This record gives sequence, C-alpha cells and structure tokens, in this order.
Amino acid sequence: MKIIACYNIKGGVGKTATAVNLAYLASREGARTLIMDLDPQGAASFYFRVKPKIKGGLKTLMDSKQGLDELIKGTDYADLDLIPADFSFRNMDLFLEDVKKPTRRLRKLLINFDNDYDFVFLDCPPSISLVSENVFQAADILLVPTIPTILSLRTYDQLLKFCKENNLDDLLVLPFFSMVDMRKQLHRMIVEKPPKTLAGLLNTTIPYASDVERMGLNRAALATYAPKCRAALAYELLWDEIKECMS
Amino acid sequence: MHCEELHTKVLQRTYFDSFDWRIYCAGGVIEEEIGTSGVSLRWRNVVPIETFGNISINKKIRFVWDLPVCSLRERLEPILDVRALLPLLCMNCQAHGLIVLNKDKKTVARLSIEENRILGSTKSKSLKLPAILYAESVKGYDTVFKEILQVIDQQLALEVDDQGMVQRAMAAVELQPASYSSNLNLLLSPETHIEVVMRNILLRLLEMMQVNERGIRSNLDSEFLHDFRIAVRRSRTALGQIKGVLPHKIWVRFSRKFEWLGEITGPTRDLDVYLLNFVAYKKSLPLPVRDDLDPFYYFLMKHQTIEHKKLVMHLESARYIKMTAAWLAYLKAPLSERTTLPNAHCSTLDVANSRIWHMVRRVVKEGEAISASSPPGDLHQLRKSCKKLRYLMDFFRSLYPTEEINKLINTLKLLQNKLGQYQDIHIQIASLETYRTQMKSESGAADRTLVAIDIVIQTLEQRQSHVRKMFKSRFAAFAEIKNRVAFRRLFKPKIQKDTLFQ
Repeated sequence: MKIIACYNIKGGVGKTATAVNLAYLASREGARTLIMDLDPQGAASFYFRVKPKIKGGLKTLMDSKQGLDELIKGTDYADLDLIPADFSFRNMDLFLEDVKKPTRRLRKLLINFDNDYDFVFLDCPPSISLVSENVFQAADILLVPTIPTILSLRTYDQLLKFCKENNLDDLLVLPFFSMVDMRKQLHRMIVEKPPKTLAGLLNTTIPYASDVERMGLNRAALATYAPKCRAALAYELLWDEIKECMS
Repeated sequence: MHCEELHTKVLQRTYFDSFDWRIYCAGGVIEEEIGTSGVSLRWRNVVPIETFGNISINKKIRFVWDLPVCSLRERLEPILDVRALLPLLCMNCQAHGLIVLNKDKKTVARLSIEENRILGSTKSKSLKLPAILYAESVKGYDTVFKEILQVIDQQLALEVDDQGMVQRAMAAVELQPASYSSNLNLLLSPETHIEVVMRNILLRLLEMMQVNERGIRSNLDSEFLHDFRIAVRRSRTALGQIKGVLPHKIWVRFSRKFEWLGEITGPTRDLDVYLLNFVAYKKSLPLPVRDDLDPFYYFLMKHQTIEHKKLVMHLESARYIKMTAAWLAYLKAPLSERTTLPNAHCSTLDVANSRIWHMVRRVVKEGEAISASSPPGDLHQLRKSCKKLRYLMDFFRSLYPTEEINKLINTLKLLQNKLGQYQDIHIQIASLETYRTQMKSESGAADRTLVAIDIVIQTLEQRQSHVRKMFKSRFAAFAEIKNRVAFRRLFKPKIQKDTLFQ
C-alpha cells in the first residue's frame, strides 16, 4: 500500500482536485484505492456525493481500533472508497496534542488498511500543524500542488525547511505546478524557468481550467465528464509520472 | 431511492488457467474482457463471485512476467510460476449495468444483468447460459442494500446462484476443472497383487506423458516437457525397482525405450532451465555489465528452438508412436490368472514396504559415506537414490497413514532440494563452459559477453561451494534418529523379504 498525501501549506492550490482526480485514475486502472478527506471543509466528500459526517466525529476516527472499516463509504466508482470528513476535524490538532506519540497517530490508523488498498490518497487541510506532521509521518509521497506565484514558492521553501529540520528523509516530496495560467507573465516565467529550490519538480503542469471548477457542479471526477479536456489529460500524465517515481 | 440504467455493454470474455489448473485450485480464473474501452484482465473468484486486480492491457499475456508490475501480477506470480495461461472458455456477454441512487444521486448499490453465450462449442443447445442478475453493495450503504435484496426477492423470486457463472459455463461444455495434476493420486489396496498395481501405475504415467505431448509440441510452456520427463523417470523407477513382475523380454524392451525417452528430452529441458534461469544469471552480474549477457540469451533461444524441433520430430516418429502404442496395449491386456513371474502375485503392501525400506537404507548408507572430500559424483548418486525413494513413496502413498508419510516425504524433499541445488549448479557450470566455447566458435561472441559468462560461472561456483557446505547439516537433519525410527516404523517389513524384488 502506498500512501500519497496531497498537501500544501497554502490553501486554494488544487489539493482536493488533485487528490480526487488521481484517486479516480488509480481506481480506473483497477487499483484498490481509498481517499481520506482530512479537511474539515469536506470538499472531497462533497465531490463524491458523500455527506461530510462521521458518527461520533473525530473521536470515532481516532479511537477506532478495529471499527475504522465502518467509516468507509464506497463512491460512485468501483475500487474507489472514501473516508469522509467531519466538521469536528477542525479540532484535530487539539485532539492529537493529548494522545501518545501524537505525530504517528494517522500512520497507526492507516496501517490497518495495508492488505485492503493499493493506494491511499490523503486530502489534507492547508496549514502546517500537528495534523500535517501526522501526514508527513504516514505518507510515502507528499504531492505538493504549487501555483507558480511568489507566495506559493515561498511556502514550498518553508515546507522543505520543515522536512529537513524534522529528519523526514524517507518522505518523497514531489511538487508540481498547478492552476497554471500561461496568459499570466509570472506563471509563464516561473514554469519556463523553475527555481532550483523546487527539487524533484514533476514535469507535468496542471492548467487552470474551468472544467476543473465544474467538478463541484457535476460532483464527479474530471475524467468522467470531460475526459478529453486539457486538465483531464494533464492529470493522466501526472499520474503516469507519479507511478514512474514510485517504481 | 431509484434505479437508473447506466449502460449496455457487449463484451467478449475469455477465461484462462494453466494446464494444471493452478489458478482454479487457488479459487479463481483469469478473465480477459474485450469491450469498447479496450482489453482488461482480472482475477475472478469462482465462488464467491468477486474480482480482483483489474488491469488494462495492450498485448497478449501468456506468462506472468508479461504483466506489468501490479497487484494481479503479485498475486499470480507464486501461483502460476513458469506456467502459461491457456484459454479455457470464450464467451460473448451482454451486460446491462444499473445503479441504485439515493436522493443525493449517490450510487448506493450496483446491479448488473448478464446474458452469456459460450463460443466455439459444437453443442448449439447448451451454448446459451441462463441470465444472471448480480447485486453489488456499496460500502457503507448496507441497510439500503438489504432493502434492495428484499425487493428483488419479493418481486422477482429469482433462484440464488451458488455455483457461479464460470463453473456453470465449464459444466455446460463438459470441461472438468482440476482434471490434470502432476501428482499420481493413486488409491491402492494393500492386498492387491502387485502386478495389477504396477500396471495401474505405469498406465497412469503413460497417460501423463500423452496428455503433455500437445503442450510439448506447441512449446506452450516448459512444464509440459518437465512433467513428461517426470513421468518417464517415474516409469523407469517403477521398472527398475519392482522387478519380477513384468516378463523379462517386456522389461528389457521398455526399460531401453524409456532410457531413450530420457535421452531425447534432455537437451531441450536443459536449455529450458537455462532460459528460465537467465534473469537470475543476469541479476548475478554487476549492473554495468548486465546487458553484456544478452547475446547469450539469443544463443540459448536459438539452440532451444533447434533442440525443440528435434524433440518434436522424435515425438512424431514412428518409433515413438509404435512404442507408446505397444506399451499401452501391453498395459491394457488382460492378466492371466496363472503366472510364472516370481513376484507378480505378491501383495502391494509387502512390495511397497520392502522396496521403500531397502531404498531408505541405501540413501542413509550413501549419505553417511559422503565426506568433505567426496567427488560430486557421490552426491549425484545419492540424489538419484533419493529420487527413487521419493517416487516409490509417491506410488504407494495411499497405503500409509497420510500424516506420517507426508511428514517423511517433506523431510526427504528438504534433502532433495539441497542435493538438487548442488547438482543443478554443477551441471550448469559444466554446460555454461561448453556453451561459452560453442558461442565463441559459432558466432565469434564479443569478449564482453564471454567475460559476463565467466562472471556467472564464478558466482555459480561460489554458490556451489556454499551449498556443499550445507549438505552435512541437511543430511544430518534427514538421518536423525527421530526420522530413522519413523521410516522403520512405517516401512520395515514384518517378515524380512529383502532378497525379494532386488
């Protein structure tokens, strides 16, 4: 089982769209896939038409030793399941502070699924916190959608610094450009000549596209309603590239 | 809650397994599905009806190594090993997909109605299978699913299919699953005359040779020849170990014929083994020189093709056809009540005890005589004795308590594995040296290829010496008192008849 976290300190960079579309592509290839919606906004759950609600909330999720399986909801797609978000996830940091080995709690939970899934995608909330540290400890790959802007690049540097300071050497950090609008000079400039600090930058760029925004309207993965659009094809390329990195 | 039709698909499905039903024995079959969206391959459980490891493919998959790295390959590798996937059944399927949606338009269950028609069968009446309705729950919506099942049960009153579509289809074309096994699986009675049992054993071995012929001729995979050779070796062991049961003339004639079969099948099998080992040879080389060994692969392939052609010619020769026909006629001919053959009317249990016990003592004696300075030939001789012992135990297995004999067979297997490893490496080193010279003279092989072969030989020599060092402890484990007592208790004849059946 490979755990892929879609993460960025910054919000609104396309984390959820990435997690949802890649998870769909993985399951379409027959891989048993789980997506875990860690963001209390519950956007991934919404896209999959699943109520962002867990009976008992955060406590059930974190305390559940054998019952985690009961929280899983099948999506509209075969081989793709979801652990929905809950509004109580906004307090996840507070909860984690009071448990033993607070940075390894998520890892411990996900290890239970080792034989059940080939891929687990984590749709992470923005910010850098104890939840993020849990994500870093649990994930094999940290996929970082990055908008080619100065602020985005700055948060990426912060992330790298954090990883270095916390000896997260086993974590494969893979940034890629997201929501790229080549009409904008700054985007064009950064994509064409990415800064050297973007180590491990993937070649694929995801364009800014209204088709992606329509995910909210259709409540479905992009490839199911606009399979030939530029963004859908870009997600396919991105998935191929990630698989190559894993192999 | 309401139901929507999702699609109607026309699919062609082909089901695959190995010749010896390895996948079926593991609870499934491989399903290839051709539809408008391309070709996919998956594992389908026979019962319960579940699929696993769906993967899109764009080429014919014959061996497990033809698959990309995926969960299906991971599951299949230990099951299929080197066997080829062979088609069992081909079917046309019309699948009507339906989904049950809740008020949020979220899928809460999936339904599918499948109408299957078997292709390529001559029995036109049995071609169409009864339509099947599949109901699949979606995780987390169990309560809704129960309601759906209730509706189906109350309003449609369908029969529950506990057999599964694949089994139903196999039954329709009279395909008997797991009908071939390389194990003998003979059910013997201890008091039966050995002449009857011996014929049954030899007949079963002849059948095994014959069912593998087509696979050898078509070069489907290397195991057809392997099983064929095992049947030949087992026949030779039966002839060599159970004497005074067949007329002398017949015994001499067919002992020679089986020896000939051993000879004509040897070169192809050897090359098959080298080809199967090639990946391991390559991996034993340092990364920068691995590709230097590739010309050796083409050399092996070329010679395998030549030797295989020769083998097919032998199998199609009048000599072989006459031999098998005569052997079959002899084995099927009725037995006369009177016989002058000294051991023909001995009881099977007496013969089994006597021969197995004799061979156990020989194995122990030969093994104990092997020291650190013994030549490789001594280990080879011990390996041959072990094989004979193993075949005898396989022939007569059903006469003994299952647990006890299986335990001893497993003990023997461990010793055989070690001896097999040693002998195989020994032969490989000799053959690789011969091939190296042959390659040089035939095609003027590049120096870097010859160097790569030399490195492989060196690695094998190191492994051989390592395996040799482990022989002593492995043999000691086999010959420990506990096992000797078990062998004695099970096989030592009550009345000493060692002079018989020699």
